[in-house]
Order: sequence, then C-alpha cells, then structure tokens
Amino acid sequence: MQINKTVIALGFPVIALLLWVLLLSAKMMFLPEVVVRIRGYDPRDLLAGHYIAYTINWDDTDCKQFKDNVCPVKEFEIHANKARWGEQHRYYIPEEYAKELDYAFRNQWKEKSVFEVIYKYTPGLAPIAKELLINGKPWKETIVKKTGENNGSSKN
Amino acid sequence: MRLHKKLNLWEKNQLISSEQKQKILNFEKNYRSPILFSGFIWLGIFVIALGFISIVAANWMYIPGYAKIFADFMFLGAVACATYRAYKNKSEVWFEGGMLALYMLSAASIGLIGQVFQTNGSFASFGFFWSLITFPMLLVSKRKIIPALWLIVFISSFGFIENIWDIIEILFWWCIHVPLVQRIISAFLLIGALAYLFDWAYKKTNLPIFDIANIYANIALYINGFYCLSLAFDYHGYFWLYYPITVAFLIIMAVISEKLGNIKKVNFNIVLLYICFIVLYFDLVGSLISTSLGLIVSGGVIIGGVYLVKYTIRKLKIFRGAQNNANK
Repeated sequence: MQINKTVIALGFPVIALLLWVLLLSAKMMFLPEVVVRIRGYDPRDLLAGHYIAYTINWDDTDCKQFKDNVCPVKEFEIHANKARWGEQHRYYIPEEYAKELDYAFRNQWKEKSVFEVIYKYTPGLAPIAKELLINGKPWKETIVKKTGENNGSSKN
Repeated sequence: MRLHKKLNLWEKNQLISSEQKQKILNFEKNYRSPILFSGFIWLGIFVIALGFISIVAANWMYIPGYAKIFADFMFLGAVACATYRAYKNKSEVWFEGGMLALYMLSAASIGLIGQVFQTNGSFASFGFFWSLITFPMLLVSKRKIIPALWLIVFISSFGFIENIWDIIEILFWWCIHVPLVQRIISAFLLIGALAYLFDWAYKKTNLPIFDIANIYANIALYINGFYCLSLAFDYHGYFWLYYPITVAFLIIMAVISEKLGNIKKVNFNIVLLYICFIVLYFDLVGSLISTSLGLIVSGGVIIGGVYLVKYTIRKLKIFRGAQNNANK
C-alpha cells in the first residue's frame, strides 16, 4: 500500500504535466489560426522569463477571420490576465532579445511597425498564442537581423 | 537533555532501573537522525532547483521548444526514478530530498511549458495547478518541508484570484460590518477552532501537512493577539478593552497547552504574559502609583486565580467520582 502511494506521489506530477503538454500540442496542431493586432509594454515574470504584455487592438484586427465576421472580444478577455489598465495577454520572449524587442514594441508608433500575434483559436477553448509578428514577419527575423546589424556596425 | 531529565525522574521514583536508563540513552544516541546533515542536503537541493527555475526563466531561444520539453521530462523522470530507488533502499534523506527536488522541478516544468506554448495564466492558476499535481506527495512525505512550502503556495494562490476581495466581502459580510473588538474575538475563535481541528487531524493521521497547518494557525493566532495588544496601547481609550482580551488569550493558550502536554508552549505563553505586564509597566496607565497598585493587584489576582481554578477542578473531580460511584 505504501509502495503504491509512493509510486503515485512520484509519478502523478510527471503524468499530469505530460497530459497537459499533449493537450496543448493537440491544440497547436489542430486548431485554426487567426491573426490579431496588438499594442502594450514589457514587464518581467521570474517564473517564465521576460514577456511582452499586450492588449488586443480589435479595431485594427480583421474580424472576417472569425465566425459570422464577429471578433470574439469577450472570449479573449476571459482568458486574459486582469491588470490595472485592462486586459493583459503575454508573449514570452528570450532574455537576450528582450531589450531590443521591448524597444521596438514601445516605439511601434514612431517606427510605424505593425505588431500582430497569430493565435490558435476555436470558440469554446482558450486561445493559444503561436507566433509574434512584426510587419507580417516572425519577430525573430526582424529583431535578430537588427541585432546582427547593430553588432556589425559597432565593430566597424 | 529533556529525555535525560525525564529518565532521572523515573529512576528516582523507581519506575526504571539505572541499567534500563543507560540502555535507553545509548539507544537514543545511536538512533538520532542526522538533522543537520539532512537539513543541508535538502537546502542544497532547494537552491539547485531554484537555479533550474532561473534557467527556464532565461528562455533560451536556440533550443527548440520541444527539445526543452523533452529534456525536462527526461530529467523529471530521472529524478522520480532516483527518488523511488532511494525509497526502496530506505534512504530517508535522499528520498525526502528527491521528493523536494521533484516538487520544485514541477514548478519549473509548469513555467517551461507555459513559456513554450505561450499559455497565459495568473499566479492563482499556476499555484493551484502546482498544488494539485504535487498533492499526493503530502500523503507520503514524513518531513515538514514539502507541506510547509505547499501550504504557503496553496494559500497565497487564493490572494491572486480575480475579485477575491469582493468574494471575501460577501462571505464575511457579518464580520466586516461589526465592531473591531468582535472581529478580533471572532478571529481568535475561528483560528483557534482551526488550530484545534488540525491538531486533531494530525493525531489521527500523523500527516505532517496537518502539523504544519496547526503551526500556521497558531502563528495567525499570535499575530491576532499581538495586534490586539497593539490596539490596547494605540487607542488609550480602549486600553481596558483590548488589554484584558490579550491577557485572557494568553492564559487560555497556556491552559490548552498544558492540557495537550506541550510544556514548551506553556512556558512560551507565560513568558508572553511576563512581557505583557512589563510593557504595561513601561507604558504607565495613569500615575506611577496607580500603575504599581494595579500591577500588585493583578499579580495577586493571577496567583489567587490559579489556586481558585485548581481548587474548583479538584472539587469537580471529586464530584464526578462520587457520581460515577453512585451510578455503578
């Protein structure tokens, strides 16, 4: 009996996490994609690294992607974090590019950049952010390229 | 040291022989678990696990998400297997250390998965999920570290629930809109009842989680008591309301501790009573003369009260004994 309890105690966290990963993977593979426009700022979360905290700009999002051409504002709000100034979503970013991405995000109006997020979404399930886009391209292409150019010019 | 004193007392009263006393002392000396050694091992494991959480937080871009998750599960599995092996080999230090590592690494894994899949969640959802998947460990661990951490995470997760304070206001409306003194007394009674419940549950099940919950409830009780005492000296108009409540609380805790056989706690409460009276002396209620008279009378009341209680209990025991004999 004690051995069974020990096996359960040690195995349960691993199995529970595995099931969670399988569920999230299934959502990532099978749910349809939608693209939403975002705006926001960058705080810090010790547990999962840096993240961009943003709100969804529904005014500039193409609602034709959704059922009945209606943007699911309420449904996205339910799954957002409630912050002082409104609903907040997060996109985790690597520590080494946090500074550049933070700058680009804060100055998107000045630099006329368009920030969007691709979500895996279907009505009734929590949406999952798949990719952060800058001017239609994955953020890594823009930021990593910019960082490479800056490093090159500083060496010269 | 206390065991030595007890054994000397038993030997003096011829309950055990000097040979038996020596046998017991020798046994205890050899059986003593290496608390310091195991404590440092577990501390080292805890610190290493924190380091892993920081590695997750760094969010290395060059390693693909699925590779990170695969490595994480391999590591989790390895820790779980090693812990089970320690359990089979009856190595308590490494078994408990392994469970602590698994507990902390579960949190790191939740963070990693959240980061890779970009899940959005508050500390509440993280805390409750972490508590849920590690709950079975509470039924197996014989040490207090994991239950102590688990309870802190579980309770603090409630604080991060959206609109929690509105919910509390609804649930405890009867408490919020009553005078402060009633709230303080209600808190004493409610937390005291919880502490008693946890103590009873610990004696029934021997699970450390209940012992830890009892400790936390007692801490909350004494914080409430300290708050009550501070009110007595903050608002001099209410001194004669809050000060007796604090003294009564400490006396009741001393009596309950004595009933439960917890001598250390009895002494602790008596010491706090000493401090209460010293604080009273230094604060000075009215003139020095009235304070000194008050203290002398209080001391007399305490001594007289103790004798009165002892006399009453003795009389009640005699009365109950006579009743039982009559019923037989």
